[in-house]
Amino acid sequence: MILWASNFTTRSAAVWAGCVLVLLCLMTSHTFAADAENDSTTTATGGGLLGLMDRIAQDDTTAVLPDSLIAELTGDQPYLTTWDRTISSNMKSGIRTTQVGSGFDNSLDFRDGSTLSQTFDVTREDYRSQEKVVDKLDTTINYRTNLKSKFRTGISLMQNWSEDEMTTSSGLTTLNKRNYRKANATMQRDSLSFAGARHSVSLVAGIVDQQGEQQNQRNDFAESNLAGALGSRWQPASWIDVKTRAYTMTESGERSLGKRTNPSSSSGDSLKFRVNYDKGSAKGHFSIRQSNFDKRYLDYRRNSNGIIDTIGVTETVIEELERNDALTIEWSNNIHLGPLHLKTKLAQDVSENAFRESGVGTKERQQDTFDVDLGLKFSSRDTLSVSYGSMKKWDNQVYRNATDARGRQTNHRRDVALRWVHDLFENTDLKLLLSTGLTQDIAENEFNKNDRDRLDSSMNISTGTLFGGKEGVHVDLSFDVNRVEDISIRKERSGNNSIKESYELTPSYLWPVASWLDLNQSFRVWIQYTDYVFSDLETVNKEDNFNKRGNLDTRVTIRPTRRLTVTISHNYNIKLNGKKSETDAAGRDFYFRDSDQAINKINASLSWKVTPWFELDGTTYKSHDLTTRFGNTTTETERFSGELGLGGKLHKKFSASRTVSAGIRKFFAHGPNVQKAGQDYWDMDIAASWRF
Amino acid sequence: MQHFRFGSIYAMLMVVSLVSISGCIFDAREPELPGATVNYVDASDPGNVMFNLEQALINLDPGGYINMLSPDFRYEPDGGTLANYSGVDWENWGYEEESAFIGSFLSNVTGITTNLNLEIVEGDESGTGTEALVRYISATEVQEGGGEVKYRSLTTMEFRIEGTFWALVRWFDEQGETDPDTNSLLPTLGQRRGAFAASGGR
Repeated sequence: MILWASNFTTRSAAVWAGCVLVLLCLMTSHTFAADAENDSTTTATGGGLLGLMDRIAQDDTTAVLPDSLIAELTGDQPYLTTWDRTISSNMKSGIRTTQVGSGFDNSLDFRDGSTLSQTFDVTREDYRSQEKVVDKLDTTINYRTNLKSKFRTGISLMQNWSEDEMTTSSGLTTLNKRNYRKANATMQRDSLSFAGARHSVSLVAGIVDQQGEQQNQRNDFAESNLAGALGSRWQPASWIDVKTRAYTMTESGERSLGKRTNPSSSSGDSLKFRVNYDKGSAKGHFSIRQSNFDKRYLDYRRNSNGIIDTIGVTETVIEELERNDALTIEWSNNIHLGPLHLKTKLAQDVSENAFRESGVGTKERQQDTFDVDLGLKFSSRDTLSVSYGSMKKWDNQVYRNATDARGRQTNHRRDVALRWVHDLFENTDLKLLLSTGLTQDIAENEFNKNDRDRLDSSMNISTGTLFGGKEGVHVDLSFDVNRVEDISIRKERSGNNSIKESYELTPSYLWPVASWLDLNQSFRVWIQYTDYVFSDLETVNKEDNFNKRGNLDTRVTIRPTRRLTVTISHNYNIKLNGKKSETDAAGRDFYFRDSDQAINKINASLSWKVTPWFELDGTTYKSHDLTTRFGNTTTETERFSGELGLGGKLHKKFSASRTVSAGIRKFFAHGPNVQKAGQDYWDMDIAASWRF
Repeated sequence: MQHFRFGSIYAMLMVVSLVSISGCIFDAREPELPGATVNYVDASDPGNVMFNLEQALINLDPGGYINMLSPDFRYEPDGGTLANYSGVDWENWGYEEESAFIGSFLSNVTGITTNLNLEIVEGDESGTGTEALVRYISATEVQEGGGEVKYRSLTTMEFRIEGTFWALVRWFDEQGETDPDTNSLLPTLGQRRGAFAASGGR
């Protein structure tokens, strides 16, 4: 703390402001606590002591306990009730990184319900495929008074330090450094009654400080902040609940970026109003939220897309002034009338973001959402629901120094769906889903060529059957039809417009043959036809095509003893591609095959629990890939790949306080898609901790 | 039981309403007849996916780019991007975020020159098996606002067969790379994603 304070020579005002607020929090806590005790609440007395203790036991944060009662209940205990200290260390090694770390944590609980905790962690991460090392040191100290008290205070201190050294492929080494420190003091008072409503007040004061360096550029700041919130809750009737919340914050200090140092500041506030209702068959809420902020800070000069662009500019660092206003309105309603239910949601989000210096200029956004879902149980065995959803969002931008807006960029999605669930017979449901959706991208004034529509229609029929109860045979069958039209509107893109139709059939079953043997098999056939809309034009170099894929997956799980599990599986994949060659007078299409691909993969895994705290395992696979391409000459490509992993894991507790856990595996792999780092590596996660 | 007596009628009404609604509001627009067109190839191996991604970027065609993404697509930024845009929810940068980003990016720049697979550092993009992991040195130049911004990165791309075609599942910018002209460190394209997200996305 002394070292830290010494760095604040130029920011002493901010530090002193923060310290004064921290002291103020501590001094006033006792005064407010006394007031809070006198201000007994209906929650505490109305619910009775047993009820209150029950609610506290259930971690109900709205349960409030008078401080006098806390003292009475805990008076015989020593002031420090528990003190846990934990020393830990860990080492991890995987295909990407190797990491070592240590930690030392303290946790103290006091008789009055307050707690003090401290954490300290140091880690080093070494990247295996890159020349990169990251060192980190994180520490926190938190103190808070009893969470069940009406008046609560807390103090938290945090430091994150890191150094990231990285060398590029051509040998350039860069070092990024960051030392970030934060101190906060919080006060919160609940259950204040005034004008028939209940209120809570909170206040947060803090200071933040960073010394950073990225690519030899300074990035420092030191700022103090103060924030306050007032929340109110009013229940004029048992079925209605009105909540409001007002929040405001201010922050000031100074920032250094590159070679420039300037004062910085920000301020913001928000107002939220929400009404929840639950009367008869109707339940829902209505809410409005308005927020805004102003920020003044140093930043690099940015272009119209918000990207740092300092080429050819004399003043690379500028003093930015950013302003943001946002408004959200939402209404959500559910109605249940016998077998009928209706869910409705209406929402609108509007925001405006403006920059004084950035080329972005001013950006406006709006999003309107409307969803409705109507459900009906129209017989004892049938449920039907119909839903419609619409979401329209747009943004517009006036670039800095421009006189006119560039035009709205709109994205509009609408979709409608029908779901029918029919109880076919015992333990068997038939489900039908039909849906259609249209998504449109529209650029006003054609400032780009990306206007496009996507029309997506699908049907899914599925059944699920369970023979012989939960432990019995599961049989599932699913059939899907999907049609997607991709339509680019402008001539620069429309050559790729296509209609894709796909069909998929997926039967599967899981058969628990015996308590020690499971058999699981699934089969999938998938066919897609692609029709390029303008493929008949000479200027469009596109050919209609088909793609077919089959997959058969078989898995056998054997558990000869309680401690031993063996799984053997086989996966067979076949893939056929072809292009359309001609269409005859009757309109029939003919295709020729481009290529066939068949992949066979065998997996085996074994897990043996040697003792309750030690387990050995092993996995292996072998894969064969045969690709045949047809053309003037037929070519075949044959590839093999495989992997073997052997290892074990242990989790052992020595008495109640010492724990060692470790997982170690050695992997060997080969094949065309295996990285150099993945050919032979250890995967380890070893951790030891001692709590005392 | 009274409910169920009229249930079938209500159900019929719901189906009829659905058909009416979908018939009225799902009319796509008529496209213009194609002029010069972007030539994409079948994504029959990871190399073709990379070719199509380049074609889409060069021709500023978000649709062509999105067609190469798996629905399970994930983007992971490099350390420099993480440091500059720490407030962005990178953990959940998936297909929707990438689609929104590329739509905005390609609609707001003047031109792009790119070679995403300038150099294959490791891996094989010929399409054996059903999954592939390839590490590339990628280079891109973006023309915008009267200037030009360069990007260069060491990037890991992961591909997978989706349906019958290959698609890009993961784009991991490992780190920025050195500009051979100036010998200074260039950022990755992750910075574009960060700037897009930091300005509120779309």
